[in-house]
Amino acid sequence: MFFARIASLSQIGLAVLAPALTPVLASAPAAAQSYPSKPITIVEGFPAGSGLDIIGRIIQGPLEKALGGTIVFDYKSGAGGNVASEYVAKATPDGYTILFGTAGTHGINASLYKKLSFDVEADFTPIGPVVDVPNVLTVNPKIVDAKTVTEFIAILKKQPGKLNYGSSGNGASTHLGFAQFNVAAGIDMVHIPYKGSPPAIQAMLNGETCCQFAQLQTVLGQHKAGTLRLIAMSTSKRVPLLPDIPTIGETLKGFESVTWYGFFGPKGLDAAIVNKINSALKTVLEDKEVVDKLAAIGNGVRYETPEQFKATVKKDRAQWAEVVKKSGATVD
Amino acid sequence: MELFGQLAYGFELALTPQNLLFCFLGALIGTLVGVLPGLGPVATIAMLLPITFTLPPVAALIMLAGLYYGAQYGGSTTAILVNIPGESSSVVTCLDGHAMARKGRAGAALAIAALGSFFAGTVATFIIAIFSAPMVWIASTFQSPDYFGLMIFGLIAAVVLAQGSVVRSIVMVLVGLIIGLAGTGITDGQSRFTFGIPYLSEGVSFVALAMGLFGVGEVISNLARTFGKPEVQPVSSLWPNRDEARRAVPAVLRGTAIGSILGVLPGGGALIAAFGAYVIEKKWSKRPEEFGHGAVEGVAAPEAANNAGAQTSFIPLLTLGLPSNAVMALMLAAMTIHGIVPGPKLMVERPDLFWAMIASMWIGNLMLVITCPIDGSTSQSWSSAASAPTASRTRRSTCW
Repeated sequence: MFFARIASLSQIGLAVLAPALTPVLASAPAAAQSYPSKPITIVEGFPAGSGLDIIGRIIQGPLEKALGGTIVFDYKSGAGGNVASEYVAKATPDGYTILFGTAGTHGINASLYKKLSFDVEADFTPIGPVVDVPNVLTVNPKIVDAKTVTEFIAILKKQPGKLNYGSSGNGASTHLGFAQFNVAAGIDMVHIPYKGSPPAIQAMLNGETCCQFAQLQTVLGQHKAGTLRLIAMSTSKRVPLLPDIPTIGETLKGFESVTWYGFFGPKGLDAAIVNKINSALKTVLEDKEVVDKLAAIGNGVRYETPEQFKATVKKDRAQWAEVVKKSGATVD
Repeated sequence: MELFGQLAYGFELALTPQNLLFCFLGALIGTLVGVLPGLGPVATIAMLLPITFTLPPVAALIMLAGLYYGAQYGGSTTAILVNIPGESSSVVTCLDGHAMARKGRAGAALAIAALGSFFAGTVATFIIAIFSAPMVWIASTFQSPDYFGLMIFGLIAAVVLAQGSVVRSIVMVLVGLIIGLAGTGITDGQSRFTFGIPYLSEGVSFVALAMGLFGVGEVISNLARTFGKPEVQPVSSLWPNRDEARRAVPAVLRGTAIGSILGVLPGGGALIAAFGAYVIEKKWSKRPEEFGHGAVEGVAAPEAANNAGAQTSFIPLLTLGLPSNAVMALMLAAMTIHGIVPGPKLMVERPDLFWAMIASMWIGNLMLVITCPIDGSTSQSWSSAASAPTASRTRRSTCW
């Protein structure tokens, strides 16, 4: 593509420029070949120890091995991940600053935040997804003693506007997923956002809220102890870790609210580097040890080529825009 | 009796050479981190996390835990000697600790801080071992209205306990509230006082604010006074005199009690514990006018409280699987990565981890109190380690 552009430039008589551009062009493939020659910074839009960080740490070692370089994590939390997105969108596209983004940062935020200084598609080079993160409809059985989605909807329909659902934050997938469920099931509940997952789960335990869409890994301990009940998964297929728990889609046809985590570079990242990272990801995501570790906390690996990932981002952005609109959620 | 058996089991595990070594390493690194202003336990644990992947989970968690409570010890050293809090929870210690140092009682202040912390650490260890269940009940019945009540109590206490003009303290509380308003509204998602700067979307960082108020102020005043050399108070006698000891003991007891309770609350931990203990100590005291001018109680209570709070903040994590602050969130991540599912069943499924961690906490506290501040020369070199960047910064700034 670069060469094509040069050819066209020379054709219109700007051949003088060609020698000046040559070193740049020559260095690009060379840079890709020697990549990585220094530590790669992976930027996360959430604090150290977040669900995203756990996944990042699990794949860190194997990915370093596959790439032949060192990975450093940098946490720039704030504004639902937008602080990190903005930082990477404006970084030099040399492959040494990579964003660990989510369906939230690149799907939801695009329609939730009115004044973003970047475009989630145009200002990024999608590299590849890493995992699918299931949300699970979780209830405190002492407040809503439902065992199935049907029972849950029936109980809720009897007391419209009376019960609260919690979320890990305004505009988080745990909020919008539930809002989407409310619309699909035709029920009316009050949303209470909390500052992150732990206080939201705490609120469900002490009865301040009755239920929540929770990231599976955050409620596994409560599920084991029986303090909270997992009713159904938001994914299209059952989660292998807990095969007995049905999906919401089995009751409400077509319901799906899945979130993924994946890597993005700034726009204009050399395709050779993108492919290098993507194929390293492929190696890592085929590694049985990694797959098992991720599966043990309920996450399924997700591999896509850069092109497929680009299409996923486009599709999810449109899908979440619809949900944001229907739920009436706003963040100014 | 079962308890002693379990504790003995914990000590047996914690006293293996490997676990002992990692307990020591954690406490040592924690002290260093506590001494260095601006570098907190969250950043350090995040940095050291990958190293722990190769360790067995018990050793890894023992080390990371040591880092957290070690930082509580280290933070007070610089607060007392150079008036720069090494850790957010030692901000309060600056007030009276440094005042004591100015009066030539730096050694006594250090000893009171260390011994108070050790006592609090010991009590908190036993609280985790024996009273986890009722403590967690307190935490899990605490709902939004209770938090609101606690906040109102804090604000009123700030006004009532301030010295001098009531109007001035009300105004300062309001200024604090306005600073606290900056950020994204949790319920409505509105940006408040962020001026379009994304870094303000999570609000003003308390650590940055405290560093600015105390640390930068200290550097500026040093610049003006001694041109480049920070003022490090000499450590004289290390032992508190009889009067100081008599005043410190009840304050340590109260600080331990307050810290133990506030540490368990979600969102709590060492920081709230230290502030809460200071406020209550001042209210309780027959000599409130001495606070801010080197009151022994003003060092003893918050130091005991921050250590007790740091340790009891493990209770929600170990018994519910819910982290109460940023450090605990990282501990939870560490457990998850090591394949442990934190939750109410942890104590049953991994008794080795639970009891070894508790035993190691007491061992770590013992190591900290023996090795660090008792040796006066050590604490002097610790604090000069912390003030070195200050000094070089000062020198550099004269070049500018």
